[in-house]
Amino acid sequence: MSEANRKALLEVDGLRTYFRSEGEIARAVDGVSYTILEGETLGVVGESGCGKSVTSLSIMRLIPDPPGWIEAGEIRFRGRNLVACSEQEMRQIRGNEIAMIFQEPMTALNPVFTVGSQIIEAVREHQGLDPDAARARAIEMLELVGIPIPEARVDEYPHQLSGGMRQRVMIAMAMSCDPDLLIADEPTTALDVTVQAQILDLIAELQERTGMSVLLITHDLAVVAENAHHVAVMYAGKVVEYAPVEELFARPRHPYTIGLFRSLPDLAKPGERLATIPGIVPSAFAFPSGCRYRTRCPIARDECAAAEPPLAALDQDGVHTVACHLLEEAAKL
Amino acid sequence: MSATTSTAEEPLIRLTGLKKYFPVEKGVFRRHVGDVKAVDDVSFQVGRQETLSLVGESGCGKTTAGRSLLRLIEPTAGEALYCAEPGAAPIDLFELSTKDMRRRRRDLQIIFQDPFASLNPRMSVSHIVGEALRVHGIARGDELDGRVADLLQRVGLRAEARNRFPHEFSGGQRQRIGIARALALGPKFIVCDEAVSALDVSIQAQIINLLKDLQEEYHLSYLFIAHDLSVVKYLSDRIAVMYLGRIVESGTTHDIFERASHPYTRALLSSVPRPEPGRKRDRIVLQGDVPSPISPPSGCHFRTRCPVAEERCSEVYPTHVRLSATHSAACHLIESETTQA
Amino acid sequence: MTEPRATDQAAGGDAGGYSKDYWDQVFEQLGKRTLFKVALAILAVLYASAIYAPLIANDRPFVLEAINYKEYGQAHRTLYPVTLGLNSLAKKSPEEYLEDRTEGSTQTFDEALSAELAAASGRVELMLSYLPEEAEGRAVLAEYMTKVEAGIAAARARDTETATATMKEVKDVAKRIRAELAPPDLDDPEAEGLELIGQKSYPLWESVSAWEIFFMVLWALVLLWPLWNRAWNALLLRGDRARIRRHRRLKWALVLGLSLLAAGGWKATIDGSLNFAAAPYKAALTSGEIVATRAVFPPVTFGFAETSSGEFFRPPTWSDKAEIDDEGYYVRGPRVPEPDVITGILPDPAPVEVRHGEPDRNAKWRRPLGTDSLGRDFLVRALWGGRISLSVGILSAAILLVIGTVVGAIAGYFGGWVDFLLSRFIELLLCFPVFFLILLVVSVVPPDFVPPIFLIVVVIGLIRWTGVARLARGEFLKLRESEFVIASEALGLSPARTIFRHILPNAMGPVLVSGAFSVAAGILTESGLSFLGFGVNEPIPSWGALVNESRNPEHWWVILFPGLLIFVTVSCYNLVGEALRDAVDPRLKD
Repeated sequence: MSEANRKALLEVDGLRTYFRSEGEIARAVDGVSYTILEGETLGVVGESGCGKSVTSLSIMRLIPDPPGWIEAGEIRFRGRNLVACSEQEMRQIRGNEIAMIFQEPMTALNPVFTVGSQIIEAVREHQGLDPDAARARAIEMLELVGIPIPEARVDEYPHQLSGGMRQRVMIAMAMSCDPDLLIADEPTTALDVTVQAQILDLIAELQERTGMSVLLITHDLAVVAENAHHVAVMYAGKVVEYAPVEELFARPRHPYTIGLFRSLPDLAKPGERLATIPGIVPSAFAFPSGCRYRTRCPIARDECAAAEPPLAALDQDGVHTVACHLLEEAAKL
Repeated sequence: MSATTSTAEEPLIRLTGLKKYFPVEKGVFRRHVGDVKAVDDVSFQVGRQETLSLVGESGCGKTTAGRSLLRLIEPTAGEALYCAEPGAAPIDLFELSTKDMRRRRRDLQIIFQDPFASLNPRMSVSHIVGEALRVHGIARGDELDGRVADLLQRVGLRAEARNRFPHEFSGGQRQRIGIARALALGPKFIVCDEAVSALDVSIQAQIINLLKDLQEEYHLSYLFIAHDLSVVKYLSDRIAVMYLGRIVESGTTHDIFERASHPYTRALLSSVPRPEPGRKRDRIVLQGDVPSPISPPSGCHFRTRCPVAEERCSEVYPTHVRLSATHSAACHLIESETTQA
Repeated sequence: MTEPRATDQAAGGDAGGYSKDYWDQVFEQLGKRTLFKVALAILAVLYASAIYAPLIANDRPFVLEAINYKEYGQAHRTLYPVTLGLNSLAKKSPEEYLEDRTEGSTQTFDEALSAELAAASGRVELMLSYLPEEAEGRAVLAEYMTKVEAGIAAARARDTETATATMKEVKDVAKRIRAELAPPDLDDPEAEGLELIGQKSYPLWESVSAWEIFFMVLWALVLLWPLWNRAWNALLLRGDRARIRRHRRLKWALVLGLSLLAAGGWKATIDGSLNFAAAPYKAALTSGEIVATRAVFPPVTFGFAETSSGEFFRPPTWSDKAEIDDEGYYVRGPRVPEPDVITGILPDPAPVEVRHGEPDRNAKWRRPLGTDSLGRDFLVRALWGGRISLSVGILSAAILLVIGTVVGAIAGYFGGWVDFLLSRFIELLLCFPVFFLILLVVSVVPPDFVPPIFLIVVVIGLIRWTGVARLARGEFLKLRESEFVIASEALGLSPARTIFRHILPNAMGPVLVSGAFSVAAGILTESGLSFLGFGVNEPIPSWGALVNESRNPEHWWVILFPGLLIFVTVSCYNLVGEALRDAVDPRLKD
């Protein structure tokens, strides 16, 4: 895969998604911008509550309204602004051009229908195939995602399958209409590590075969390291750092990214204390002024409280962008 | 922290042949149709101020093993020798009467995975942390308040937190409250049941550091139950790998991570993603899922997914092969492998 | 939103200030629900109307200050014959008395003297009680008594001479009394007569029993809770929320204690036992037998068992079909009398008797909800009927909550064979149709042995606990496995402590919710049974029994008003249960 000159498939630009709860407003996503290139995987990492999942639901326009709504920003999919699309247009895009898989496949599958009928339904809805062709397509898809004896499994119910198999069925459903973008929201968090490896390999293999883009949302830096091409690090509703994966892991520049890496037990030597980030993630109801990381940042100064740092490119190419006022100090961390 | 336990000194915990079977019943009259062998013949020992980790995938029996050891689940069979002081006569926890065991619980504590389910939502923090002290008659009145405040401070919470309720705390802070509760009675041994698995990376690091500090300060021994191998590698002195209710390999952290012998351990280690982009992937991807513990495969339980299984693997369960003073594994193929090498 | 409310410390609760506990959160959630508050207010009013029914609707006056001319007249009239008797007795020697005394009598001479004295002094005292302080007659009566006593004393001393002389004087005084202290002639309003004063009595209060006082005081304190609670918190606790929380139990204890104290005091002093009976006060006042100088009646002056001739099935008096003319004939509507086809004679008139304190015959508020087949006021019966219907709901729910929670807790906590047996038993009980079981029990047990209404309560309580038990069992099963319960076990706490301190408080939420629904179900069951005639004994009303008064569609008020009350109460309980269900589990909203 050549790195240069890939076209952007999806651009999220200044997205703000808010929720109202008991008279107060939670700014779950508050000015997020990132780009997914064609045929690439963008990994979005962050701690719980940083807004990474809400961003992906906003792309699908699946934010429950009320209590949530998209306040501002654009989501350009092949140049088309999804925020402005009608619900009917979105239905055409959802599942067909953008598909999504979730963390808990059992809740995402309907327990009273066979897995086959659920795939068939999706295929017929979007591609207008006749029943026989749709069934053949369903079996083909199950085979594609590595389910043994797909002719038999197609008539089984979700509860008859193991967790890993269910996630494969979810992927089969998502892939059945040849989407251009697959959004995978913590696809392996509920799975055991050996099964996680299978599923991640499967997604990579399908990407190679179809050339689709993948938006991989996870809290696990190691999963991102092995599976993404670009990485966006999110904190408190914002992207704080965006870079190609090798660049980010070799030269993290934002104090938060650096803090995250330091707290990984993988990289620590036994016997050595883990570096930690003090405190907890601020509430989306009341973010700190200026830089939102300043309350936990080891190098924060007065100026950090005054203004919010913009996401700025580090160099001419603009491949590595960071939102921090104190890049020089951060480099010394 | 010394990982070795000298032969002269009796370890804090010596567990032998632990079995926990859950009966499977069917029909209106609850006919006994079989057993889930959640833990089947597990033996290990935990030395003083040592951390032993039990690792394995979900359903391998590691949580059941930890809770059976503390008799929070009554074990089906086995012997758990507990030796409170070096030189003291060990007592079998499984033989104690309910009343004696209740007294003994002061030494043996547990920390849970889910920081939201592990604290009684109706109780204030001071009640949660101080209840055991009061009930066991250790402290009351002002002394109790002082003890609770000390404990909270020790786990990194302000003393003012004691009048608050669990729902007002974040996950990491709740986990600290759970740790303070476990520390209240001055235990010698703590089972950490997936104690950091539900936490975010940065919070996880805080709790790991706290557990290490407390171990130093109070000379604690941990049985650390986890599925996250990177945390295990960082924290453990020794590791036991479980698969379908049995320990398949055990050894020092170095033994397991550098000289893994059992095919399952190797597959497990190779599946763990590493935060190193571009690392050459050289995974042993296992086929299929873990079989049901109601009817595990004959012979070696792992043979159905094992990349190197042979015919004899289906005949008899392999015995543990001693690879070094600290390292052993249960696999028919190990000897032949080592001789080849 | 400028400075963070929730930076790292504040969100985690390290900062000082007040923390909400479970009940704070529940009340906060409930406070946000308008429908819940409306339902609660309606229920509070319904319960108040039931508890205070004796004070709202009663045919007894609170205070009665009246002159009983009949009584006075009788005492006055018989005083002279009594004096004559005394006189003749005083003249006799004991021997003569024994000779003359009635055949078969064993009375001695001294005993006869005492009896005569008592007869005289009783009459004098009665007359004195009606005479004003400044009346001249008082002196005469006093003189009479002094002389009588002197005469009797002499007779006792066997001094017949003095006795005879004194008694002669007594006779003269008695003559004066007969002349001067005669009561006025009631039939002649013009006649001048003696001025008498009324006797004060409290017939209504005397009929109120101690347990009624308990609930009246309790409910008053509960209804006024917002007021005194605010004052208490502001003045006594100075708004310190932590202390307010600690005082929560104290307040409840105080409310219960005060109510009990009031009831105990009532029992010791007044204690009524005149419950559930129609009283003759209004009739006597109307006939003039008693003339009241002051009579304070409750707002509605009908008793729940007070019948009224001429007002059978009278429609609500605000409707124009209820108008009745002087003779007792309806003026409009289907009940206007028609002459007999053959004889051309109108049916006998049934004039409406308007008794003392009652609204006029055709006043709009005389019978706001109409009357029943005996002319009993429907509003009053609905008020009193609420006492039965509402308490059946509460009591049956209380019984089934206790049984259900205990059984469910045992099954859920101990599991295994205990759970198996109890669960099968519950399934067995579920096969019993409660309604027919109650019918069976009520028809087998004689009503004078146990009142059927108690049977209904007990049978509902003994059979319907299965739902609560299943709920409690589920909660206990779930909570027993929860980590905080395992933690309490690991801390070496006793099973009792684990059950009562850790599991039970967390399991009670859903159980209480089902309790609210059970009250509604109990009320409905009682109504159904009373409608079929298996509930209360006549003349005690209950809402279901009221509906049973008539099946004639012309008597629409009989079905509409009690039916509406049942509907409103049941709906309110369901609304309360619904709101509780959402509020008792704040963990869901974390």
